Amino acid sequence: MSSDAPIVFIVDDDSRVREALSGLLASLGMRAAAFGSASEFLAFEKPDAPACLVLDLQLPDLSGLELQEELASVPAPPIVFITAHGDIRSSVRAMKAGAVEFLSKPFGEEELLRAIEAAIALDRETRAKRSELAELQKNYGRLTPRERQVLPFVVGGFLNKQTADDLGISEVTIGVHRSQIMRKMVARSLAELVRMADKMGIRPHGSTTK
Amino acid sequence: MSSDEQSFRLILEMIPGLVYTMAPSGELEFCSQQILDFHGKTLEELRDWAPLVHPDDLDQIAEFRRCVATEELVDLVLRGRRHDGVYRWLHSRALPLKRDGQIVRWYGLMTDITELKQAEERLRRSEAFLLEAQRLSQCGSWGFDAATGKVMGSPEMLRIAGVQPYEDPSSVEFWFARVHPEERERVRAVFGKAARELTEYRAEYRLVLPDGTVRHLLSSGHPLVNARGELVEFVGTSIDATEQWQRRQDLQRAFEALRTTEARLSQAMQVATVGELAASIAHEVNQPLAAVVANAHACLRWLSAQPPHLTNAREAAERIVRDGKDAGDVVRRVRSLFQRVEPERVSLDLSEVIGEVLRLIERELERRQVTVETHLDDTLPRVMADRVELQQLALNLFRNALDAMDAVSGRPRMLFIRARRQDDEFALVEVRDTGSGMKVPERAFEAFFTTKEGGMGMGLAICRSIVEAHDGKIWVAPGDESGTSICFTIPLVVAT
Repeated sequence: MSSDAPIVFIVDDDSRVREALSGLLASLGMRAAAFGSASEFLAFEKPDAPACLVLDLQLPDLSGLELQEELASVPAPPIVFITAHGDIRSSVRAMKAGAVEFLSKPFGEEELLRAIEAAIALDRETRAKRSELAELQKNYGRLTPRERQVLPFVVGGFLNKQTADDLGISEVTIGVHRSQIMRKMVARSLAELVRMADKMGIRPHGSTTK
Repeated sequence: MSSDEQSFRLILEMIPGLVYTMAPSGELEFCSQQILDFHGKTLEELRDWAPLVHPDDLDQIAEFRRCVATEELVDLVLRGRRHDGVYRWLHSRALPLKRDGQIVRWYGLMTDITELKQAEERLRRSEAFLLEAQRLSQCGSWGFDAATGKVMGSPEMLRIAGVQPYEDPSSVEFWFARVHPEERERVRAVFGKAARELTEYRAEYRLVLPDGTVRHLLSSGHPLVNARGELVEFVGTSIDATEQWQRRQDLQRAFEALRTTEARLSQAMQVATVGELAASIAHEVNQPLAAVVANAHACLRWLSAQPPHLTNAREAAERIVRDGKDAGDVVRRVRSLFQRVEPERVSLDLSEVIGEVLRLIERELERRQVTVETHLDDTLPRVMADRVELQQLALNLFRNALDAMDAVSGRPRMLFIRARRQDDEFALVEVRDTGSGMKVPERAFEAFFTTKEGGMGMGLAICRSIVEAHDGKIWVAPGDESGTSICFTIPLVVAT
C-alpha cells in the first residue's frame, strides 16, 4: 500500500461501531484508523495522504460539531457525519458547516462508501490546489524585491516602457526583470503567469477592484 | 435701713425663691442670696445683668425697658446664664409698688422653669411624632366617648376617611355611613358587640370616600373602663391597608399564574420525557445495529473474496452475534423500565383530565386546523387512576388522531371525545378522528408496529400498557369508512 493511498479516519466513542467500520473498510481494502475521542484524533500524526473523517455526532470530549468547528481553521479532511440520534437540527448545522454527508445509524455499505469516496475525491482536489499554491509561493519567494514590484505591471499588461516610466528605471532593466520573473515562476507564457498571480491573490497593477 | 425694711428683707431671704427688688428706674436694688448663688455674682455685678441673657432672648431686655418705662407689669421668659455657664429658662415677674401715683419700688420674683419648658417641649415633640408616625404608617387613631356618644378622630384618621371640611365626623353614624354598604352591618355588629361585652375589637372592611375611592382598613381597639367596670371610652386605631391589600392581590395573582405555568411545565416535561426517552432508546438500539449492519457487509465481502477469507468472515460474524445480543438487551432494559413504574391510583375527574390535556395541545389543534367536539357525561362518577398516566394516555390518543388527519383534505378535521359510564365498574372513553383510518387495526397495539413515516410504533403500545395496568381494556372500534375510533375503559371509584 503506497503512502499516497487514501486513509479513512473514524472517530466514534462506541468500540463496537469502531471495530465494525474498521473491519468493513479492511474488507474493502481501504486504509482506516479509528479513534474513541476527538482529542485522540487531534493528537494523531496524520500521514500525508488524501483522507476522509467519519465522525460520530456524540463524543465524550468535544462533540462532533465542535470538532468540525475546530478543524475548519486548519487543513483537514472532509467530514462524513454519522449519528444514532439523527436529529434534523444537528444535521442541518453540520451540512451548512461543510460536511460531505450525514448518515443515520444504521446505514448500508453503499451509502457509506459513496460518502467516503466523495469525501476523498474532494480532499484530493483540495490537496492538489494546496500543493500547487505551495509551489507557487515557493517560486514567488525566490523573486527579488524589485521583481516582486515589477510583477503586477507585467500581469497588468503594461509595456516595459510604461513600467520603466512608472518605476523610474530603464526599459532595458525592466526587460531583464521580466525574463527573470518568467524563469523563476516557471511560467511558459504570460497567460500562465497571470493565472499564477491570480491564484496567489496578487492583483495586476492598475486594477481598482477585486 | 428701717427696721421695717430689715424684717422685710429677712422674710425675703427665707422664701425659697429668687426674689429681687428694683428702684423705680429699674435698677437692681436687692437680690435674695439664692439669686446671687444662682448666677455666682455679687449684687454689684448683677446690676448690669444684660450680658447674662441668652443672645436669642435679647428682645426680652427691650421688653423689660418698655415695661419699666410704661410702669406695666414686668413679665419675662428668658434664658439666663447660671454660675456654671449653663443657660436656664427663667420666668421673671415684677410688680411696681406705687404711692400717690409714684413708683416706690419694683418687687420681683424669678422662677427657674427649665424643667417645665423641657416637659412642654417633650410633649410638643411627642405629639408631633405621633402625628408624623400616624401619617407615615397611614394609621389613624380614634376614640368613642361612652358618656357623650361622640367620636374623636386623629388628623390622620380624618385624612384616611376623606373627611371634608364641611362634614361633622363626631357622630358614630358618620363613621358607619363611610363603611362599604356590603360590610356596614357586619362592622356595626362587631363594634357593638365589643362595646357591649367590653372585649377587644378587630375588623377588616372597606371605606367608601365621598369621591368614590375605596380604602381597605384594618381596625382594632379596646375598651377603657372605670372602677365600676363601666365603659368610659373605646379607643383604637385604623390602618389604611389599601396598598398592602393591592400588593397581596397582585402577589396572589402572580402566584396563581406561577402555579398554572408550573403545572403546564410539569405536564410538558412529562411529554418531553416520553420524546426524550424514545430518542435515547433509539440511540441505544441504533449503535449496536449500525455495528451489526457494517459487520454483516464486511462478512459478505470476506466470503465473496477470491479465495474467501474465512477467518475474517468468522470474526465479523461473531461481532454480529455479540452486537445483536446487545441490541436485544437494550430492548429488555427498556421493557423492565416500563414495568417497574407502579401507577399511583387516585380518584380523578375524567372530564377534568381530558380538559387539561386538550389545553396542552390547544396550539397544535389550531395549527393543524382540527375542531374538537366533546361529549362528557356530567353525571359520570370519578375514576380511579394515575393522573400522569391518564394524561399520557389521553395525550397519545389525541396526538395519534391528529397525526391521522394530517393528510386529510376536502372534509373537516374533527376530533370527537366521548366519555360515559359503561357499567357499574368502568367508564368508557372513545376518541374518534376523521382521518384516513387504520390499515391494520388488529396490529395497532403491537410495540414497534407503525405505519407512520418516522414513527416509533410505541404510542399505542404504551397506551395499552397504561390501560391494562389500570385493569381496563383498549380496542379499535369497528365503524366508519373514514376515520378511526379507539375506545378504552378505566375503573370508576368504588362506592363505599
